[in-house]
Amino acid sequence: MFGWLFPRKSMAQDLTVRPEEPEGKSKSTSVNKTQRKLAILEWRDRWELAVDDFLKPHQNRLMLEIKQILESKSFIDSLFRSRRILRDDVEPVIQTWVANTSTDFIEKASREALSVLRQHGGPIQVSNSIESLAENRQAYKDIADLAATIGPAAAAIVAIPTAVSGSIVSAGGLLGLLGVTVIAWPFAIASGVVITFTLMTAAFRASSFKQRALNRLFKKISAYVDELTFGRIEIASPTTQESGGLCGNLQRIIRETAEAQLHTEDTE
Amino acid sequence: MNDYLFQVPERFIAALQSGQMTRFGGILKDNATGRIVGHLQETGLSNSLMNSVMGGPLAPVTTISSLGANYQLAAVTKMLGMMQVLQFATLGASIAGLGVSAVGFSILNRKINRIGDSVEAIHERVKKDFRWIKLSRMRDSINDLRGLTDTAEHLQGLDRVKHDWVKLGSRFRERSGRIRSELEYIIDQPSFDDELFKSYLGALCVSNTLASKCFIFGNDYERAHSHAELISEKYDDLFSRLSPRTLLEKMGIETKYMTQDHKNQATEKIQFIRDLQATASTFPALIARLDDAGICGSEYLRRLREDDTNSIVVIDAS
Repeated sequence: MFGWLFPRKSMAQDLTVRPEEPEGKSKSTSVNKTQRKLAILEWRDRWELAVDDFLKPHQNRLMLEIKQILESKSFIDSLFRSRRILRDDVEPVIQTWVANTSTDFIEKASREALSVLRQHGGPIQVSNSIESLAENRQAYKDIADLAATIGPAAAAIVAIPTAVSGSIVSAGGLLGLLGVTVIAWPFAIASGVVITFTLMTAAFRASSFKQRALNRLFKKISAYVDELTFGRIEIASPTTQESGGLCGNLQRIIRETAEAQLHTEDTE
Repeated sequence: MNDYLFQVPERFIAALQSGQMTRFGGILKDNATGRIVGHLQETGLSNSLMNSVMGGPLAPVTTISSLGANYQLAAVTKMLGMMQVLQFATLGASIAGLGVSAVGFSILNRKINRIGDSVEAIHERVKKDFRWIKLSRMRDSINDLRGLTDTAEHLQGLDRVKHDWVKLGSRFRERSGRIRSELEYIIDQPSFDDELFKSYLGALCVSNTLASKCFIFGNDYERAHSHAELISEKYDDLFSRLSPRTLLEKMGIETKYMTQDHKNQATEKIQFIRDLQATASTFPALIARLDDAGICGSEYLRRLREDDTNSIVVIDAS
């Protein structure tokens, strides 16, 4: 039907002949590799954009939980013990929230990354066992409990080596990178919470009405959580020494994970 | 062999719809073996339809902005149907070029002129801006491209000019390298100028298209292949760093304030760029296939340009 192609004319005769490639195979391999790389980029693009939509409902639930905590407090507590409320009740909730929310997000993103990589074949740098992430998830909870009882600084010292051995060794590559970064956050933010809240509490002591005091406290906590989630309150990452809010850190994890996998593709 | 080298895409529809085969960039792949089954190649018809009746490269495949004569309506409907089967989300690949560009030099020259006008307009506007020097350089590159394309048009009417085609191709390749550097500078800026980016990207695509066309006209498949590989590699370097999020941040929209509309628009832009990367990455395989089949470059391009029946054809990979 399309028999209109002519053989190459004589002017092509002086062309240097390219070395023959094994038919089909090498071309397909190179195309498959690019297809995998683009699939990784697509994963990165999608999850980087998904972070805020993921965090917003979680943040709303956290604030609801904090509101309930504040409302359960007595008149005396709300007027004179706001610092204690923040330290004993609010701070642990925020720490646990950061750990759980990050883990949830990373778990979902990791599952999809594994599925994308499996679909396109080729090297998978991450562990095939998603269960290892579930084990790490338990570790986050244990460490968060520890942080609440023995204090953030001590917990941080305990937690970081645990995170390094627990995540990198068991999960390796992709999941290791995700795990290490996340696991240190609750402890890194803890001291920041105390300092910020100490300053805040001074303003509340003079308040004469419980509800008014609680409302103001809630408003401040809300602003703080907002800043922690989307703003510039620093959550240090032990892997990169960079800092940023929770949203920024999750985006960075996605980016770094994609970069690591792309690097693997290039060096394979 | 030449009798069965080309296939119409309809032959592959069932396999594409059943998921036995997928399209990636400019190729059709067998999902079970991962092997290339065919190479997509646009014809002159797809370009004339695109330019005359459709809403441009970023239009959704389902969109027809205006329709001309009835015969065009039938051809456009057929082409859109085909692009949907081939899983194109936007008409972006038409800019990247599915296969060797079937567009004539005079049309490419008009494209360069349009890009030149747009650069000129930005140049006027930013007279006191630091970008002025960059834009001045860009204007020079565009003028260069215009001159070289005129030469290409002239060469087309002459016989036995292989050496001239290759020389011209190399000059287009050199210009493309310069434009790429400028584009890299724009991408790495903390703020994103969409208008400037589009102009430079257009100039880059056109200069690469011209270089490839010249090498194919000159039957120098070795250079055409090496240029195609270079484009693929450089597009990868250049565009992988861009994502919808970085684009929006460069436009001054913080994550917290990104609306769904913002995200959709940025994702569409990036999707277009990924289409470019994908088609560029599959281009070397097509060149190798044409070389293997011993096809005469100038004849290949002439026939593609003159095809008024099929907007896309498939070159059998086996």
